[in-house]
Amino acid sequence: MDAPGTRHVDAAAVATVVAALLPYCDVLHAHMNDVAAVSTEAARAIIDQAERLGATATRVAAGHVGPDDANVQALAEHSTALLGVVQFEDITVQMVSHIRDGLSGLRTQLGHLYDYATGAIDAGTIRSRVARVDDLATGYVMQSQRAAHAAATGTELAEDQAAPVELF
Amino acid sequence: MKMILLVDDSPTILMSLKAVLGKAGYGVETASRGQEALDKVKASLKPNLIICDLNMPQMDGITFIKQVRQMPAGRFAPILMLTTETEASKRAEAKAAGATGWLVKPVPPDQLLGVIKQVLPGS
Repeated sequence: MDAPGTRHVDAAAVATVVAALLPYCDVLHAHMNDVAAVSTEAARAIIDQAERLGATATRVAAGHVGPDDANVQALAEHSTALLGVVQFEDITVQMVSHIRDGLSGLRTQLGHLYDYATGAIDAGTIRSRVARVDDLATGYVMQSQRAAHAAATGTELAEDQAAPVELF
Repeated sequence: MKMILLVDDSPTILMSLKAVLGKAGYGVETASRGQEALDKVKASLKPNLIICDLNMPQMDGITFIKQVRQMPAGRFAPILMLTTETEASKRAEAKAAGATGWLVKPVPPDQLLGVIKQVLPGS
């Protein structure tokens, strides 16, 4: 006999939800790898710039170079470059935001599954509430997100060859 | 001194670019929302250049451009979109709205300053 509040579930309905959830998980996993890669790349760039900055500052402080020396100019250039590198934070925040939204969708889907398993909703309702993994793509704001999505779902990605800087 | 208006919802971007542009000799005004930037232009700000993000809450960059182009102080100022987005359709939309150029983050500071010199001759 079933425990109170439970029932035999329609295997096909559960399969529908699970089939939708698996690629969702794959896409989120790919996005997390993407975030990690961006963070690593940025951290290396910061370390590289910081080392250059430190080395130049050491030479200046030791009095090995005068105020007009090229190293003083290099010091200014390295500090400016370091300011540019921190743009990775904005990129990472946007990527993480999409993962957060995806996890929220996943949680909603699991809630529907729970409701169905406990008899709160029927098979037709749960099928109508299944989210499509491609819905995640509607909110993407950068090509790397689309690339991660395409790699995780095995779909074609339209090449984007546009230059990073374009004046109209 | 040339005045640049930075519009971006990321405090990090505003802080870092303000430092880069300030070191390069530009005056910088910042806004974290499109409406805030419009209010500043409406009040008295006359930017020589506007650098604007695309994806911002409440008002996106393209809507901001359309609205600032209706204001006397924003009608002719060059506007550079600075964004993570690379999609061609968005670029075309921004161009139609009145943007002057499109830069994809992250932009190295020397490259950004080079583009600014191109759109702000004599700066």
